[in-house]
Amino acid sequence: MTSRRHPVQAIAFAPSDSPKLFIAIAETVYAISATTHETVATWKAPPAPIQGKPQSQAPDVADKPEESGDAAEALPTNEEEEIAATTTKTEGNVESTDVVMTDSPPSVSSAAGKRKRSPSAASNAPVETSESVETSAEAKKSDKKTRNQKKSEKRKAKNAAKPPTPPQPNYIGQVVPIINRNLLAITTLEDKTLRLHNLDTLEVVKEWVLHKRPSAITLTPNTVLVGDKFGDVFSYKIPFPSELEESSEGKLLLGHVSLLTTLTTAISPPSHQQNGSSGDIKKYIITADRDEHIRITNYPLTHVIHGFCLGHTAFVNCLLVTKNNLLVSGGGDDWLGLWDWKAGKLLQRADMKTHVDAILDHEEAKALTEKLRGYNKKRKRKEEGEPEVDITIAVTQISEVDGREVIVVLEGIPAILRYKHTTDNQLEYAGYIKAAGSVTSLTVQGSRVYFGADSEEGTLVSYADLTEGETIASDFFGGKPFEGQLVEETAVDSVNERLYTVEAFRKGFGGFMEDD
Amino acid sequence: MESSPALNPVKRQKRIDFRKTEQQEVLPQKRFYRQRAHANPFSDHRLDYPISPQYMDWSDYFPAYFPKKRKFDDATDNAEETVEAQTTSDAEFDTKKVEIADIGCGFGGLLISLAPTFPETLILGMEIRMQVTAYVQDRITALRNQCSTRKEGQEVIPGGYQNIGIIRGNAMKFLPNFFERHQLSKMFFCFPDPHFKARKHKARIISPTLLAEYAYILRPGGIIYTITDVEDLHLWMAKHLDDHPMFERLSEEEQEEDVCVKIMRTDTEEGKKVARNQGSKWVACFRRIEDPV
Repeated sequence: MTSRRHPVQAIAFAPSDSPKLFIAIAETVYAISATTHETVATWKAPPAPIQGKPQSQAPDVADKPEESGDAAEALPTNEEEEIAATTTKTEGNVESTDVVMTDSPPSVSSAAGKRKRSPSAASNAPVETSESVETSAEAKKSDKKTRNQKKSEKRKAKNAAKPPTPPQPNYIGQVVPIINRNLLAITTLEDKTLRLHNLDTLEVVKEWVLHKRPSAITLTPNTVLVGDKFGDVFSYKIPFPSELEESSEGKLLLGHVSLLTTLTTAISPPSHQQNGSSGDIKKYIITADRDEHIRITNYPLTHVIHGFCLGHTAFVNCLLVTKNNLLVSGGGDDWLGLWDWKAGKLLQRADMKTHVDAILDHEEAKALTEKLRGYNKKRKRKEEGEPEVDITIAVTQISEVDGREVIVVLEGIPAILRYKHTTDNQLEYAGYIKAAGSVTSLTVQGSRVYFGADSEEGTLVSYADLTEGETIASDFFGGKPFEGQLVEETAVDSVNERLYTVEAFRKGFGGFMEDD
Repeated sequence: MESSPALNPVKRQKRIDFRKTEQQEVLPQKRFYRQRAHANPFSDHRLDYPISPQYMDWSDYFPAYFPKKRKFDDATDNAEETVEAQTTSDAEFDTKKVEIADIGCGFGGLLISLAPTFPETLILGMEIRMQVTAYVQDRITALRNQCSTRKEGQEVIPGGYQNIGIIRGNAMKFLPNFFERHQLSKMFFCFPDPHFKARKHKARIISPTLLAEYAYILRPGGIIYTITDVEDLHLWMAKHLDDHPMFERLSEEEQEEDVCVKIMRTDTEEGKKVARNQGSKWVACFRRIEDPV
């Protein structure tokens, strides 16, 4: 086995005149007729521009002379800057050096910032004001100097050892049809762009470069809301055909100081309530982040926060507002949260862990545990020597089918969990749908679910009808092969790191910066 | 966990020795608690914070006002029972709530000056740097001990410093975990990290998106106080508060009459430092308006 099939990482269904299924594989979106199962259009994301190179060059140049010890000669302009900074200080006009730093170009400020900490450079600099203080402390600082030097050498060696990063494939993030406008919204992760495409031809009709990498997307009647990895939510107005040429920009609606994982909209009182005017209906945006928060924000008055749903002890990754207007949340906790979101009240913790454990026998669980750990290098290293069976729960999707049941997808798990609404507004586990491999994407149309699975031999896209009786998944392509993308064996790890990103939100994992 | 890796061994030993000694009433010295002035608000750190305000155990911070609660870990028997026991005790004792927060309180100068000014109000300082938090904690403990063993002729401090507390935390991420809607009447942002680079502006403690969170936690009529020695930052903070629909600026007269403004100017540690260097200080205060209907 030298290569394997790339699974479908995003999927969406558009029930238009000619119903279509959209599947995203790596950088490509395919539009497939739901009746003939033929590919009717494809779109490949353009390669992302290579980033970060020019900036990383500049400080390196400034570093070298400092190390050799004659900063004064090598950096005449910086020297002047610093003198200027200290003279303003002596004149009694107390601007700190930091203030001067902002006014100077970035390369200068970084060099000056470094010198402040490096005594070797400070003693070389012809600065009279602080000199007397410096000399008394000189002796003490000498050992610090060598330490600093060692540190910077180490850093440089590390940088040199790193091969230049090759251009990253411009992966498709989210795919969302906007049926009434005959559009398809697609985000791409590497060039951080939101594009609107013609739903039939996949031609790009509008594009916005986003501020940060998108992590969540949802629709309101007239806008696309995009949440990003920096915690902010921007809204982009969906243009009518006559407005396509007009330039429009995203509007910042709200922000978390944390990675924003998901967002959805909700209304209250529920629309099925009889009492009349639309003025009574209040709209909200519900957002969730990596720091366990679920926030309810008024819409469109997004400066007013209605409340929080607090109760999760690990990251929150998925939200669903059900037909009976309750909120279901899931993420790194072993349970699903069921909330009266308006009151911020947790109604139920619906267990998932025991059900997941029951799906697999010991050998399967062992293999899956190893697989889950293999999805991320850092995790593999950290969990070496941990118990050989330890299935982690990381929810990647929650959807509702026909207002009857809630289905849940967990990262790496080859099954879809089903929960039924009970009459007293609770969730009750109701079995699972077996998949050929871990479920990587899922979409719901009526009582049918379409999903992509990560497996060698199994079907690429399956569907299942969630009606009464036992549910068995069938091959969407009816056994016909689909010209997808093959992944070379050497690239399997890097593809896995792109596909399985949710467990890495967990804290204490090393996936994110943790300092003290 | 306590020590930073950059600290040299001699200094570290001195620090440890100092902290070990029983210093019932002796005020701590800053030199044993130094830590670099910046912390990344986006990183995880190792923070303790409650799941939600109801889960917060304030007894460690305000022992005179909150009874010691049974810890969750102690209850190996029945978790539900513990919760039961807690709610009853809540009803009997914990009637007071923190009403003033000093965000990024640093070495605690403002807290200590505010304490006798509002002796009946609970005031909480929040600080992200561990060493600095430890310093303020030791300082408060020493001050409390001095008050409780008052000698002849010693000045009486209203409240006896029992009404101030310090907590290590990341206010930009976790304020809603500590405070309910409309809980606070005053929030102080004194000499915050300026984060000069445009790229770092989201790390500023006053930002358009965070203001919504502050408005949620402040009660209508509550006041945000800001002071800084960096004019750019002052203009930034004032602009964003001005632009935010939930805040209105206090008039010049109101601001000058406010006792908190006076204290903030003269008694914060940074304020003293700026005064020593004869620098300028910029103040801007904003009132949180009523919620829109």
